[in-house]
Amino acid sequence: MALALHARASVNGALRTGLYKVLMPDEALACVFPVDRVLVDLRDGLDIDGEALIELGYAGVVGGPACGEQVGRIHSISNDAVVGAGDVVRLRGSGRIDVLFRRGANANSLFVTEACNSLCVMCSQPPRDADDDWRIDELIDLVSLIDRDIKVLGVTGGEPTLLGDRLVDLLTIAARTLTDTQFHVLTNGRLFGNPELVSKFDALRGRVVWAIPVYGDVAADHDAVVKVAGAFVETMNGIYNLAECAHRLEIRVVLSALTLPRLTQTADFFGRNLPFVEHVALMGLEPMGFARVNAAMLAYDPAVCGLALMDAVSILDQVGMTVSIYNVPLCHLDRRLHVFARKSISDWKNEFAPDCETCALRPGCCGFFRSAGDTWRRTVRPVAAVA
Amino acid sequence: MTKNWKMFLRNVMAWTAPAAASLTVWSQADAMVPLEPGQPDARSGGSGSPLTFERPNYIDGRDVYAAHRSHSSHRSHSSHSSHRSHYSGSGGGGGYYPPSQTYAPPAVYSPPAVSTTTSPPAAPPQTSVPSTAARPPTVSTSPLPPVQNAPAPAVTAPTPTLPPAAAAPPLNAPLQIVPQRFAPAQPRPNPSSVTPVARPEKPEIMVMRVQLELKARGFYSGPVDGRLTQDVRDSLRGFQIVNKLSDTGTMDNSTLAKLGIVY
Repeated sequence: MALALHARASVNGALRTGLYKVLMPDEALACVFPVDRVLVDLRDGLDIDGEALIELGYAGVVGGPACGEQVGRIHSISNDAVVGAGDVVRLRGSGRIDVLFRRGANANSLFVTEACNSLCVMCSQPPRDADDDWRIDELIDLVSLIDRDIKVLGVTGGEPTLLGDRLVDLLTIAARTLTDTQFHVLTNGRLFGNPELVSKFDALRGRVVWAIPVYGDVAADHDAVVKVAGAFVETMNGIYNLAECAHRLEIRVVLSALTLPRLTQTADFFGRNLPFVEHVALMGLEPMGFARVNAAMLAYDPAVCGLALMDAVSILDQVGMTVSIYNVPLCHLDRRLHVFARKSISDWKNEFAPDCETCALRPGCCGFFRSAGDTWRRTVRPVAAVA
Repeated sequence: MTKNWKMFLRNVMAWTAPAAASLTVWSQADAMVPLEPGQPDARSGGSGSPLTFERPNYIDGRDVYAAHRSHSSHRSHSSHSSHRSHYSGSGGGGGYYPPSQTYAPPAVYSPPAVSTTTSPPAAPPQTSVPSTAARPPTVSTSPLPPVQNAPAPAVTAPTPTLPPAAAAPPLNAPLQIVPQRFAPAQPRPNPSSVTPVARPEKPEIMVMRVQLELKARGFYSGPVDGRLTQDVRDSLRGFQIVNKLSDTGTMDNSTLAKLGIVY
């Protein structure tokens, strides 16, 4: 299931490092993508003249028979399955290949920065102050090679809004290139407390769903989770500023020992104060990064979680808000909550416990993060098939 | 019983909540901001773009590819004026506007330095006949001068085989209406910052596609090299005969359609 995103291969000299779109011949010849960025996948053994392709401006070929020196060619990939037709790969020196976009995967996203202005205790992607300006340039490049029919494209980090105008540029270009795509931006929304930043995204209204976490109905609770004093106020101001400009909004709550005790009140708070939000996502913890370090502070009893979710989801559903439960195995949830649970975990980090083999609900279940240890998986209660 | 009143309450919420959100507190600021054409109007029903998702079926349409040579050279010289004359000549007065009139450039966007590498595929401002919202890059014919695809003056085989008769077929009514509906729906700020995407204009590429499809159907066994050799023409003729098309040995629209080649 989980397919690696990296491989090694032999690359002949005519191919420069950079991003390329790998396409089967018929699609490559349809010229949807700029031909000088397209590698034609000849691994099927079609008798296609590599030199003719180069003459027509194609960047090169993958596999196929040996061609002339001037034909850029990738061959002998360490794991052929890693690079598939439709994927966008980054070719690095010494024959290393990274897959930046995988056709058909449910988890394609644009990782815009590692920097963040919060320091959430359960962050699965701890921030770094690395100089990563190059990312935006590469992503602008990447966007032009992404399949046009992709429904949703995530934008994540770090904190994307720290990039300011650069994020506006990226999203503007992406929205223009991927005309039918919805963008889903994970942000803490704090910088949107400044209405001037919100106004920069006016042209993107409707194309972007801003997914903003709110970890409680009390400022102190929220601030304790994100480790920044005053963050709750900034985030709430940001949410209202965005809503005022008719932006689409999603509120996210990561379930942990810090958020579960007041989850019911938090749901009530959302229902009363954020009724314009189109989606509330209640999300199980991904035991990665800081969440692993702070496991003792965050760990919760699945039974407690199930009860809290029952209350919170009922409240939100009854006020007419759309609710989803992510990353919580179905056997931890009351049967009545199953319709709210989503099979959510990205396919490359999704796993099941041995006991799950016998479970009737497995096909619709999100399972576990691969990073979740045995203690998590031991909590499963396989459900027998029901007529 | 419980279930019923809950359902009822939910319905009431569903009716009232969106109205409340759009009418009261949160709509005030939108009124100030000009919407890009083609952007869904965030408030209420939306006045904006006409909803048309049909695309002209090229089988019934102009024989664009068969006319390729004359078409592309024509375009590189004076396509704009010719397309405009199509628009005005078709009596486009009935409520449609050429895009240049409806378009208001967004205030915030400034082209980043790197934008030349992105080549956004959305169709350029005044798209010609086969423009579509669904797959802009494959079907629109750019009025901008092609950069890397400038037709080479000395292209070898394909040139003479294309029937010149199809160069300027009469336009029929539906074909004219469709692009006009579409034109205002496509936001095209800053055309100057846009590099046109490569399009299947190079005859060699179309020949390769034909070779590939003929090969897949067992009509052709030679190399896929973009050369329209006698061998390929014979294969085309064979395919046309088997499929009861007129056996011209050329890549006309009906043959391309039968081969499943969309452009």
